[in-house]
Amino acid sequence: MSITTENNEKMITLMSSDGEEFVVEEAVAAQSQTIKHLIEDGCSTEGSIPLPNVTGRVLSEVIQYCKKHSSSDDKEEKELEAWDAEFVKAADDHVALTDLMMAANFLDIKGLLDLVAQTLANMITGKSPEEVRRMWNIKNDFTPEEAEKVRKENQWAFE
Amino acid sequence: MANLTLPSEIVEDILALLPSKSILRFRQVSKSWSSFLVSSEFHRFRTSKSTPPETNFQKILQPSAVNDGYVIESLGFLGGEEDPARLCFPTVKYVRFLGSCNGLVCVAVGHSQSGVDHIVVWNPFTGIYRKLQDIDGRRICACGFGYDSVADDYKVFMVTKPPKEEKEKEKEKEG
Repeated sequence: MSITTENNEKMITLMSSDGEEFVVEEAVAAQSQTIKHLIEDGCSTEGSIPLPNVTGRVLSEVIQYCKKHSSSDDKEEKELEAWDAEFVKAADDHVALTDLMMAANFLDIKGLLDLVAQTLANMITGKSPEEVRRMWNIKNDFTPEEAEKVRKENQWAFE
Repeated sequence: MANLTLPSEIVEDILALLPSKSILRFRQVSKSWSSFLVSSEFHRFRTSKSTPPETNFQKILQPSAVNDGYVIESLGFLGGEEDPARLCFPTVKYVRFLGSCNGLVCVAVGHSQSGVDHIVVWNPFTGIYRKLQDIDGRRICACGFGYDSVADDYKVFMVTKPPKEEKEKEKEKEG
């Protein structure tokens, strides 16, 4: 982070669904289009911006991402890519990644949304339908006949 | 975390990034996934997310004669390690590619060497194909296959000649 940013930047306070407060530079928070619009509408002047859909644990991860990406404009793309890879690795499993993706969706942070979506897509690419159902508690609502029909339609995909 | 669900607002973003083979396999997950994954909305969304590979259907489609019929395979269409998609025509003696558009392939097939009997539009991605109106052994002089954004449908245009000596040309149109 450059010194000028530190000196001139307005700070704003974000409040998670579980009441945790995070003080961040406006430029960092404004990586979120949702927060940016709230700031433009003057919502940040009266204390903190409440984010009822995001827990403190997830919000601290999101802020980490936003800080990195707001300070890395001129840095090498490669370094940022490596950082992103480490970042999603730290999120560990599909549960944490799903939470993170929901937050990125709500906060409208395109880079983070794409990053997590790709990570989850890579995670499930080779999985069986049953494994995917188990990951997100999806109910298999096919009758055996219907399941067989879908299987037959795409036989070459299941060997 | 046993009650974790995958909210509908993000499921599309994830599934659109999957390779074709996984998408087909995941049609088995549930009814809603199945209908969603073959919907035109999903395919439009998926196409908008990726740069489509340059399509040379003559290259990616390989017709081969087997057991008196024809098999068309999409070669490497879905990436190197994947198996090709196949469309079999057990009684066909003649295959001609007419065009491709948005991943669909339009093929003319005939039961004799002299002319074309059916036009088939095939989606190698889903394996679904549709036989269009029979054209009874007529010969194709010119043709085109494309997408009509107004009708949101695909169209085949053809100028055909009768199988024998009649000189009269005629235009056929199918949706």
